[in-house]
Amino acid sequence: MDNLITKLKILAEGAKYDVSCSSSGVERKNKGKIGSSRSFGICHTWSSDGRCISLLKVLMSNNCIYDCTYCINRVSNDIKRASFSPEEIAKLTFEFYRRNYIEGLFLSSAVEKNPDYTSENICKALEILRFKYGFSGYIHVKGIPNTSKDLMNKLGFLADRLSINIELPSEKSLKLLAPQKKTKTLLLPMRDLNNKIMENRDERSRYKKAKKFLPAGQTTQMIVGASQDSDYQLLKTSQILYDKFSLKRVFYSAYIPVVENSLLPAVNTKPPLKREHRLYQADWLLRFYNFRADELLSEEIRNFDLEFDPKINWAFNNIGQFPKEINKVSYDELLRIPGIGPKSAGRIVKERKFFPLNYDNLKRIGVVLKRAKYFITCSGKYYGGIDISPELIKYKLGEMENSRQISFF
Amino acid sequence: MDYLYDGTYTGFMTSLYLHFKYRESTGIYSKKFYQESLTSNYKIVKTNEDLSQKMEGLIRDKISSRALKLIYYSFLSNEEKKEMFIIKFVKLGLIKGNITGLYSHEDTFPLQKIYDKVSKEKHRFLGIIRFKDINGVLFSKYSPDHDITELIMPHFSDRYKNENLIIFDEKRLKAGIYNKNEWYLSKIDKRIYDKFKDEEEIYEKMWREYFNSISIDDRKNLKAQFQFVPYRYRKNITEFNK
Repeated sequence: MDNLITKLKILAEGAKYDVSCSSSGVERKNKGKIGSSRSFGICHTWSSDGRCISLLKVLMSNNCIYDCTYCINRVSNDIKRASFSPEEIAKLTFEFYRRNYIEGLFLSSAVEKNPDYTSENICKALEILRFKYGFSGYIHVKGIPNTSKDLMNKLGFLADRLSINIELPSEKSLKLLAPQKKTKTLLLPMRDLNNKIMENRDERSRYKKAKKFLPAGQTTQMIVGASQDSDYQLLKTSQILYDKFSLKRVFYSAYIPVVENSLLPAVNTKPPLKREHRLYQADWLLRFYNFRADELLSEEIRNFDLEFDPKINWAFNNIGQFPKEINKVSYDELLRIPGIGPKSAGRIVKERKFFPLNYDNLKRIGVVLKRAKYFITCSGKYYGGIDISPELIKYKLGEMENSRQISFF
Repeated sequence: MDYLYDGTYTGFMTSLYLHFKYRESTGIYSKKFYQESLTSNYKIVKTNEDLSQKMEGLIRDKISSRALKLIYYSFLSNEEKKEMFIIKFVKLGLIKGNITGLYSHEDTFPLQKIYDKVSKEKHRFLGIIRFKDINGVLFSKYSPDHDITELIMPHFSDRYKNENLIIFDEKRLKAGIYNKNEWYLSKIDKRIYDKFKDEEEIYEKMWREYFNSISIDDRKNLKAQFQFVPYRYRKNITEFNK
């Protein structure tokens, strides 16, 4: 058991820089002996870095033949190495799951020996878990680049979600930092899997009993701040992935320097958390607010403002569209107002059918008025108190931020 | 006149029916918490399954089944004035029809808010309930703010359908019990639950090690962690102890 604990520590350490941990996207009752899946996803705990823990996120092995500069598991790094057996992974997942520690498994691996050998091992672990333990809970599996198509398809029928990490959004950065990876070998399998998912969806609509192929779809991850790539490049890449490969999520991971290398930021560099946060906000705008990458950034403005969020910045740049009348404009237009999200927009649309909404209603509905008030009117009345000009609004918001910080001390 | 009910949902629904169909009360209260004074004038309502069902039907037909869910969840909350908020909500609904989409109206907002709180806690506990394997029985204790045991039991009894399990609410001394066949609620004597030995299991140790290894030090953010897992919940969560 002590041996197992040591392995677990090493292989969790190796997996933790993969940020994806969501367990959402599939609603499934217990069809086996143990386990179910909820479409809204369930977080089971939060670690001291504030990130949610939903899945048991571990590597099958951290014995890597690759030498990607940014990665702690690269072959030239001097760290402790370990590998789980497929049975060990399955048993651990089962026992953790029984105690409700986790929502499922997120299994990844360093490339041990070769891609197919690695994927076969992953496959074995999932088969034991699904068939021997009758596990009907959530499984997210990492796609190892250059794995044969047959093996990938097999994994797709065992797992709910699969992700292949792009890590870097340009061929140039890949060449520099991960010379053994090529954009093509990353994108082609994503395309193939997407085709297979579509096929499977079609098949299932005709035969109810057809087995599900990756019901929670695909995701990927990009590193922020290890290369010279701009936010514009990152966000454009995400946009393409959402449009062409129907990805469910793109995750962004602020690069934490784990190695001294002249190609990378120095080891004591702080991870660009604020930048990562802005990218997530923008990503939300793409997925839930119908924004396009080109509306938020351009060749001229290639990076997000760190002081103001992407949505309010968009509003500043399009100030002519404001103020918008809360009781009139469409749902889509409501979504464009800073301080209003899908939830409050939905409530507004439902509720204004009964009576025109006033300022107090908006407060109760959950609109963030400290931002929204500069961009709206309620039944014709404007509550901003100042002229609608980006400079004045920025000044006001900055002032508020300052007084908040002062009162904190 | 105040109506007093026996503390059960059926009892409350009976009183609600009498309130709207027979004679309007000055307020509906649970007998247990009623503070009698010299001037108080009350009637003890006899719980009646038929009338309770009639009331539920009335709400479903005149308002919506979603409204019924809103009322049921709110009834399980620890909010003191919940009965009054429910009366106001139903009164408006019986006049206006389907008011479920009304969020910020003064007569619906309190109930919508309470509903949000109860569902939030329910959702939270789907994740932070911790089981211990005690002689093959999965045992869990927790102290939720609201009386949510019956809301989370369907989830756990499906997920662990081949296990025997007990979820014990130590605040209310009641438990949700599942016996591989069906689940039910039961009062539990504190002494019985104390009998369960609190031995540490090897998997608890492994889970704690995992929990500590997965955190990234360069991103430390205890404030965010606190917001997601408030201190009051932590004593029953494996990884926050020892």
